[in-house]
Amino acid sequence: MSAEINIGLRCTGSTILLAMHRLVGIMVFTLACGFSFSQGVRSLGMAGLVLPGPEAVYLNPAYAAYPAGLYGSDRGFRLPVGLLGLLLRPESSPLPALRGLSNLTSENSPFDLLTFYDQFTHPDQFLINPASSKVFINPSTGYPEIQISVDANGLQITDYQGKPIPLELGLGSQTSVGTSKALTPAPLIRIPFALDSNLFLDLGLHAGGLGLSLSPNGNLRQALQSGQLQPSTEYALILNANAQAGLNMGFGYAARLPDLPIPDLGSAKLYVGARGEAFYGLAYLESNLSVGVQTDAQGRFDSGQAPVYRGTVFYTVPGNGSGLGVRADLGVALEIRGTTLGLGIRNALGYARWSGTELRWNGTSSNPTSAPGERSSLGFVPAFFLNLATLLPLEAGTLLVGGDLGYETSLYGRVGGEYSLGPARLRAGLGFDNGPRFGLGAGFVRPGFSLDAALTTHRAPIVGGTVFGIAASLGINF
Amino acid sequence: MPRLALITLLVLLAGCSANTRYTIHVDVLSFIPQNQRSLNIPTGYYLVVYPGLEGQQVPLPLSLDILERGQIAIQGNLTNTGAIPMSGNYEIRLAPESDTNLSDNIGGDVGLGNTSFNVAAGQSRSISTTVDLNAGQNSAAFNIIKSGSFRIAIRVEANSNGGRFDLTAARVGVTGRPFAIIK
Repeated sequence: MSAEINIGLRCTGSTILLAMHRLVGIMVFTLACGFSFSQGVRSLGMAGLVLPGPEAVYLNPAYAAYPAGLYGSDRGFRLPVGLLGLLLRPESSPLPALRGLSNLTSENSPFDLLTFYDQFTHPDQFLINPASSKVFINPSTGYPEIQISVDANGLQITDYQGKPIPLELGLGSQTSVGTSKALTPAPLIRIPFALDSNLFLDLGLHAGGLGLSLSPNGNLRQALQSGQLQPSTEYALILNANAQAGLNMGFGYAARLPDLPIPDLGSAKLYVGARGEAFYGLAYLESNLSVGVQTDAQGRFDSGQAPVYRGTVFYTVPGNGSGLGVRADLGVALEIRGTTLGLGIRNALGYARWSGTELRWNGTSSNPTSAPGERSSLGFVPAFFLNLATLLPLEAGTLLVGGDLGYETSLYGRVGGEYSLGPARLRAGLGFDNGPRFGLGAGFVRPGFSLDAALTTHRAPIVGGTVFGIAASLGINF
Repeated sequence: MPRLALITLLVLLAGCSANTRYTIHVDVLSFIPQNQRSLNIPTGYYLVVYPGLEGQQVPLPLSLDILERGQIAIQGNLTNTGAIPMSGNYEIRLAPESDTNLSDNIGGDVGLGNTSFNVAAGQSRSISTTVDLNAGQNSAAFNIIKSGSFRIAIRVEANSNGGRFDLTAARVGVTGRPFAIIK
């Protein structure tokens, strides 16, 4: 009876506890970084479009000399409406656990871990239709069912109808830590200072570059679909995570040059800028870890075989390494009769180095080797950003239309518009950025006050399909 | 496989509500080599525990109290190659993983689904037995599967001039509610 499958756990309790602590630490850090992943709500309403103006100075230093407010602004504070959704919805609210964990886990509890996960990982959006395990409800029994079929040659996980369930969880972008470490994520907080002689200084804090995913490797994905195992093949789950946080200081020069006469169109206002940015890195994570098992020559699992761990986790935390980086950005912007076109090139030259700890699993042991490690990059790895906007006065109200196109680790682009009528704003946009995007938004703007809302979308984890959410921001200026 | 199954289960917990049930179906027959799925029944009185005294081990990824019910189903064919009627009975034997003799009623093994059969000379007939296990039905056997991996066998008792038993299906299904682990 060689096909015995022994489920005994060989890990000791302390190993599991340590692994759990590490995992929780990674989750907290990456989720903290996730808060900065959000864009302004006005921008979200236009599919993420970034309009010309000082708010885009991070992408194009020429905008430091550009007048503020020509195309409006997006300065509201993003409201954590997701927390409201988390607590008000019985399916996601963990509050009953305060009266005892069994209130959450009893059979009659409405709590759904999938709904909780989906809402928890989108704290700044009130999800209208969060992912729910209700899709697995078998009408004949009335409760969600998941079927796991085991035979000598494979394992298949399906819903009650026999449809395979994808084992994918993730948030953020897997490509968000680029090959150039000098290209830090967009600042979470940025405090600009205008100096004399067209010079400017800005101080900032970044926490982002978030990507977290748990997914089966290609072999396992195929096996779960077909229920068949191949001989001498490794089946694994892969955890990818990346995130970083640090302090930034930018020092730059931006100026309006003499107007440029353009035939038939008139004179164009020309802005140029250059900025040197340095960062001091506080925390960094780059992990690619797979845990799997290998089949034997007959395509079966050996019951005594230990799991195979492969990959690396590189991390820097305060007190255990740090990061340093510098880069040069360049930009130009042209405005003619209410239409603006800008081009920013970030990281025209950049250098960065992170020192920290590298854990490495080589496939032979569950215990990693730990050694000081580093991640560095140097050279010309530019990120381009082109944007355009124009104002079209209408009989009633004004229409602002714009578009942007950028390349960082991949190409992205958006087109969108905003219709203004008195204090009301209506927005829409379309684009692509790691998949298609669309935006829909509205706002109410009064002097010193703004309230904006936008429809958001993301793909539901595990169950698939589109989840819609509402993000809101409030701006008050005294 | 075991650890992979466990990791997979952990991932799947994310797709789990408080009243989600997981059903694990194990195709026991697939673990029995093809050339051992038939049993020759010799002439005379014959008592055999198939596929062996130690039974076939059935893997269960979790040995937890979360199981609510289970089901064991077997199907096969009995062929009487002799000149006189074949009579006898068979029953499913179940034992904890630690019990390696599924016929002695010692160490935890129990019998269930005892069924009598008669096959006319030169004929064959199919047999099929399904046994439900839960706290109220076959509770001793239910407690065995709740304890985790277990062993299963079929005890066949026959009087004949010779024949054959072919096992065509052997399935075990258990259903549990993972959230019941948290109390």
